[in-house]
Amino acid sequence: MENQENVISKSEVLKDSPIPPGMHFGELKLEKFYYDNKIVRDFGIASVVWGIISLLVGVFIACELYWPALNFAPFLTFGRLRALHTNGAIFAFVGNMMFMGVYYSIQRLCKARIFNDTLSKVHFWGWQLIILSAVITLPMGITTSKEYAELEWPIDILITIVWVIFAINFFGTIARRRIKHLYVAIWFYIATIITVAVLHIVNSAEIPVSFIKSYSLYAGVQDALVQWWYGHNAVAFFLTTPYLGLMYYFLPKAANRPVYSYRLSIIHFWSLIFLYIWAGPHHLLYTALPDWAQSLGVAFSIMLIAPSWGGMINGLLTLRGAWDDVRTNPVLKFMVVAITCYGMATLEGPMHALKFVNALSHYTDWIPAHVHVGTLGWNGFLSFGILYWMVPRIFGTTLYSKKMANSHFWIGTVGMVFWIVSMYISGITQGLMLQDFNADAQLTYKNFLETTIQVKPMYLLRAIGGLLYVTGMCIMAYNLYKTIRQGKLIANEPDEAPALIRLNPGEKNLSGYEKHRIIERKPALFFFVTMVVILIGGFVEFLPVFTIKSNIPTISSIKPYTPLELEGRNIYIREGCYVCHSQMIRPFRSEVERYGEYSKAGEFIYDHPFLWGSKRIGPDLAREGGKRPSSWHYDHMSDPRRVSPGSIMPSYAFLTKNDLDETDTKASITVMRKLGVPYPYGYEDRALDDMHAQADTISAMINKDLMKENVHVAPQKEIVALVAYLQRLGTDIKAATDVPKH
Amino acid sequence: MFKDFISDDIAVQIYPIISLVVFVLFFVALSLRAVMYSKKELQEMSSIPLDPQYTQINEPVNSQK
Repeated sequence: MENQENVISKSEVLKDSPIPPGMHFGELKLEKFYYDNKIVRDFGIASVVWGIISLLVGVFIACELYWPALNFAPFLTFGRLRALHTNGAIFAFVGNMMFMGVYYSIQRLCKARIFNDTLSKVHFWGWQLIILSAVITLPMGITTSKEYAELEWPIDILITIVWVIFAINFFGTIARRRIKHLYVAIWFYIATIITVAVLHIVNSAEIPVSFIKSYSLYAGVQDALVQWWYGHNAVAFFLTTPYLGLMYYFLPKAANRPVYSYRLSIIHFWSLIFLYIWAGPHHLLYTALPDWAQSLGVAFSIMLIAPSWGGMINGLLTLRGAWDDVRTNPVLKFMVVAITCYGMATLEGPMHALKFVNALSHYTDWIPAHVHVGTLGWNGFLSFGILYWMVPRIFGTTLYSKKMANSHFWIGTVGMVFWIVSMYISGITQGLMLQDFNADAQLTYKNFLETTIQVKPMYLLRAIGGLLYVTGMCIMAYNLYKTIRQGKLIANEPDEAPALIRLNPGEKNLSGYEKHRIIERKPALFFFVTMVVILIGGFVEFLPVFTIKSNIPTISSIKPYTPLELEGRNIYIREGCYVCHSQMIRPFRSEVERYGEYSKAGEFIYDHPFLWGSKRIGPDLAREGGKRPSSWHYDHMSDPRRVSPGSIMPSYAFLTKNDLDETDTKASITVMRKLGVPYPYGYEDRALDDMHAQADTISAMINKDLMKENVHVAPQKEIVALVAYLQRLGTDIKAATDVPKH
Repeated sequence: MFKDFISDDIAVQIYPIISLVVFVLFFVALSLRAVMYSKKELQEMSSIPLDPQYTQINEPVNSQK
């Protein structure tokens, strides 16, 4: 959009408003320009549509845990759809909302139109393409298995390209700004753009096997550390920092008063981005991660309370003197609950990072409860508040129905309470049951399933909570639709501001503002300092873990997977078994009694990617190998409830029918060797023969055991490979003793 | 638990000290920077989202209600 310049006199300017520091008197010109509201609208609509879809998927998978029969097709199983829900909620709902809020606020905070309209469009459609790719690939089982980074390598590349386009558009807008100072919201956006780029690139390092399959560059302990450095900071820099930026912009707008303390916001920003990056290892407490890294994660998690609560207090106190409005204004209601939830989640997170709390809470439903305080409360409610405030403004009208917005608020709040409270009860109950010993020093609940059955009613309550929350979103969608219909999009919203005058190097500032040049350089300076700050924590934690590779005690009996086991592992990844089953036994008496010897760092050196899992909806499988006959696994996969009455596991009968795809077996072996797994050179040529031989043995064993039931499984079926993998799990360190291997 | 196998690693013992020094220096510098802003500057900066006309001072904000 072309600028229209109106030259005005110095006296006119002084009469109406003081001249911003650094402006040259007498040269002040008002430039007219137009904000792009179309891109804001597009991202807003995308966020609402994808948000409803993602959360409906969430409700569906919540129902699957109560009614396992709902897993009636491979692409609808919990293991595959869970990633679709999480990716949808994070990248489609929150992602689009973040872009909407950033595009709206950056233009106004910089007094400039967005840098390039074409880039905006490419950004928008590129992001929707990424989401669509996720919608297609994840239910197909195309996944890397790394949580919140499940998308395969071609989509990873697309994400990188689109992110760079967003960055160019964002920094281009800053370069054209007409306000010298970068408002605090922009700092949070800058931190988001830099850190997400770093996280994404480092965590997505992988070697492709085919167009839809890759193996992580890292293995075992290192892979776990990188993944949870990423996972934790995806929460920090995708769900938190951009939303804090939005809070710092939209809350003052909605409350019509400046932020409570700008000084606090400065400390809030720098300490938050500095501390957050260190805290990732708190996802791996009591695992095989080196102890010092765990302690570092704990310490920084506790310290995180300070900046997080600084932000919360700054948000809530911004409403000082406006609390009357909170009673009547739905926008402020949503925002207050959002900020309160932010405070709750950021206190609870550090509490979970305390080792004695983590011993109980980790792997249980307490964790998703905590996560949903953040996503439903903080991200969801802040999004809704922003939408109710912004949509009428860009459409030049008023909100269609305040009553509906209030109904949405209450339905959403009640839904959230149902979701979170039920999972608190479920998580703590199951955690305590799994740790319980009776008077004879035996596990009180020997069978994991007993604990599942105990908490199952809570799964229903969660589904109801989720349904209520989505219902609220549908009411909002209707309300906003009617609002849009009654108004008209102000696609190019006019505004005017004096140009920012840039000084040449060495030129004296006529108005005597010596600091001006430094301020003008701030975006680049900011970029650099932010990058340094976020990298410090990563380096301190990564370097030792990566350099101690030789110090991870070598366990001589740990051998690479056989080709059939490797294919079985691929199926394990495809079906998302790690979503419900961990492979990491913590050094607790209750876990060692229940599952076997605790896990050692040296056991995972060939695990590209690691499959430790983060949640136990079912039991740990780290020592599953050799515990039960292969025929048991065949029966259990075919019909879990026949073997384990009350089980909520999906039926994997389709694995008994599908033939194993051997196309990439050779390539898998070659890639694994490139990654450092010691397969001999040329082994890939023999791999298929070895694979067939092992499959023959296992299928013969199953057929022999199940002869009476008239079962005949052919060796080329997928189930055989999966059973081979399960029977291998954890057997290596017992190999010298008594474990039979199939 | 895993202390033994990293205890002989290069410079592992120095990490906690480096961390502490970096941490303290960072926050001292940050606090000084925040304190050094003048009240006027802070008011100007915090009113950026609210002020389409570039008023730099904290004039009473008009209530929408």
